[in-house]
Amino acid sequence: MNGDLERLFPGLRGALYAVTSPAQADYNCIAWAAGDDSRWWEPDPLGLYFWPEAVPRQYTLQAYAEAFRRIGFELCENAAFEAGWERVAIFADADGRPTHAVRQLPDGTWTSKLGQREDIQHPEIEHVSGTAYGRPVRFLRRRRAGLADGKNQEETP
Amino acid sequence: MMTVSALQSRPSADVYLSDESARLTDPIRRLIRVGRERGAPTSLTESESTSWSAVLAQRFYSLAEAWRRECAHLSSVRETVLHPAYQQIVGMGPAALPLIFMDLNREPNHWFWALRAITGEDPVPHEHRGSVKLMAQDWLHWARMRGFVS
Repeated sequence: MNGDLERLFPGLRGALYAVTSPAQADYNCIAWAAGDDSRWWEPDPLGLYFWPEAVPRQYTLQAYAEAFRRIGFELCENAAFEAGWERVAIFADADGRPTHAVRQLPDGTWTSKLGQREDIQHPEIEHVSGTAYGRPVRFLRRRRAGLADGKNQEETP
Repeated sequence: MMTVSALQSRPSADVYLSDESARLTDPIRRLIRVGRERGAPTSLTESESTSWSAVLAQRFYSLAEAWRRECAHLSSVRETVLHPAYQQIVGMGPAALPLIFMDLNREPNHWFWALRAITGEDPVPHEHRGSVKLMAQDWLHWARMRGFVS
């Protein structure tokens, strides 16, 4: 357990979460949810960071969802587990600004990259809801392509 | 663009970037005054330049640490660069560049927005965008070409 993480994300207190990577600034949660641990995905208007071609460089839920659609995801209704489907969820703050993304692993748990900090695996999507990231508001899914586990067999976006 | 040496050689008038800088500088200036009164065999110009550099470095690392500590969990660089500590570093202007490059060389981090804001340049090729280590290398190459780092 990690007291510092649990102060930021109180939902983790008492949860069976696991830290699955060291902290690193190489990639963010959007990249990690998309299966990319080599780049920082960000729609900054200056174009300093990676963002999928032809997707608007806007900090909006529509633009973030479109980025995932470009790599095969489609909008769906909720975070419910479906065998054979990989889900991502986009979090937003109270003003509807995207703050975070998580990806569902084949066992139904979720993986989150916490900014420049660690990756964690957490049983429930709501474990990272709260003041820091708001709550999950957009859900997308795509067919899994023979992934045995979420950590070591990432799909290339 | 003001270079660090130009900044160091500025007149000794007490011009500070902020109240915090003034507070940090006061004890050093008192030491210089005592040394001068007692005939310490050191160059006053050198002492003042060194003290100014020390103040800048101390301020930079204090702000950088606060920025890292308070923004590490944020998933958007846009949010992190709006943090007051980051903005104060940008506000240090060209004097911050050697310190930023030193930090970038030690550990690649998201100084790219600050570098772009201070220098008005962006040496990162399109294919490196988002690859933090490669972006850091591109900026460090740029810095070496201009003598900011050896």
